[in-house]
Amino acid sequence: MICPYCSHNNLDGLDNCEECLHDLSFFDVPTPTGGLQLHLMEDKVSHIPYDRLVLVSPRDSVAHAVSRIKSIGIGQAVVVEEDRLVGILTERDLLNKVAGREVDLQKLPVSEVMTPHPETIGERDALRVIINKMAVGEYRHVPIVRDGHPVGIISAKAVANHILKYSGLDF
Amino acid sequence: MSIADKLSEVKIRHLPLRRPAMVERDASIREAVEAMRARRLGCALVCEQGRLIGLFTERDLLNKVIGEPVSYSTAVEQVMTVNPAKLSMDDSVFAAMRVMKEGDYRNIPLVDGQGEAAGVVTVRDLVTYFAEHFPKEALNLPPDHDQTMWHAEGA
Repeated sequence: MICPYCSHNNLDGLDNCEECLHDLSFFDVPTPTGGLQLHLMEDKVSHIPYDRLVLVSPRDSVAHAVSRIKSIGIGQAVVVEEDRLVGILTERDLLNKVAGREVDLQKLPVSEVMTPHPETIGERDALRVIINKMAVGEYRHVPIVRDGHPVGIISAKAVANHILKYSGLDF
Repeated sequence: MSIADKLSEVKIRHLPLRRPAMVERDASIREAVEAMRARRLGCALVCEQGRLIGLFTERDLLNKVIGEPVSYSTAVEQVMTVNPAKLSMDDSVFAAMRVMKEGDYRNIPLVDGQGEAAGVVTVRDLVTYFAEHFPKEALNLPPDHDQTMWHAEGA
């Protein structure tokens, strides 16, 4: 990259010009051209509809958590202790750790089945941050936290639907 | 090519799909659960001599089995979703997105011209596709536009 300040020919991707030390990082930030690309880059988590939040305690029984989840018609519960997020109980946890076990679900605490310390996002994070976290961590649900308190949860389905909505194809 | 063009041109067969979990209709719920765990998938295709007749998903497990008086040795066909929405390998990524949205599905079974089960496309496959094919948007940027690095990498 040719430095616009001193015309020194730098290697591509350098943050600063090797010759005059001017900041070059700005030139590497792609500018969205419009349409879906703009939405991917600029839309915030808060633009995507959140799933309803079912809150349970780690000491609640799995039977209680399952009946709460079913009554709302969703697939996961967020586990909180003193209003702080400590885990998430998903259908995948139930598939992997509960299904087929001869165990009394009334006596099995959520803490033994939940995924502790899940990946979270903030309301002001961009859509591409969620896509990244979901793809890299293979998560289907990511809780949204504000100062450690869960305020919502976003599903991979909601992300796909949001992309569809702005793709110009959803008519 | 715009992102929208890509979504409607790229076929489902171009995605790095995982091998589906498949069970026969008289298999037990336990066998279906084990097949799903082994493949790390949220659904099992229920077949009769190769032909897709139903889908057993995590949601079926949650709603019809866990906490219900149903034994894991029950035949999976008792609790599966009969005649699920399906697509072919030659349908587009966009078609998969649309069917998932319309039916509120996370998994769409794929069948060939003869109705034989050929695979499954999941919402996770779509998210992976978004991340890998729009990398400039999804992966390569600092989380904050105005972020400044205070130290050189590795320092």
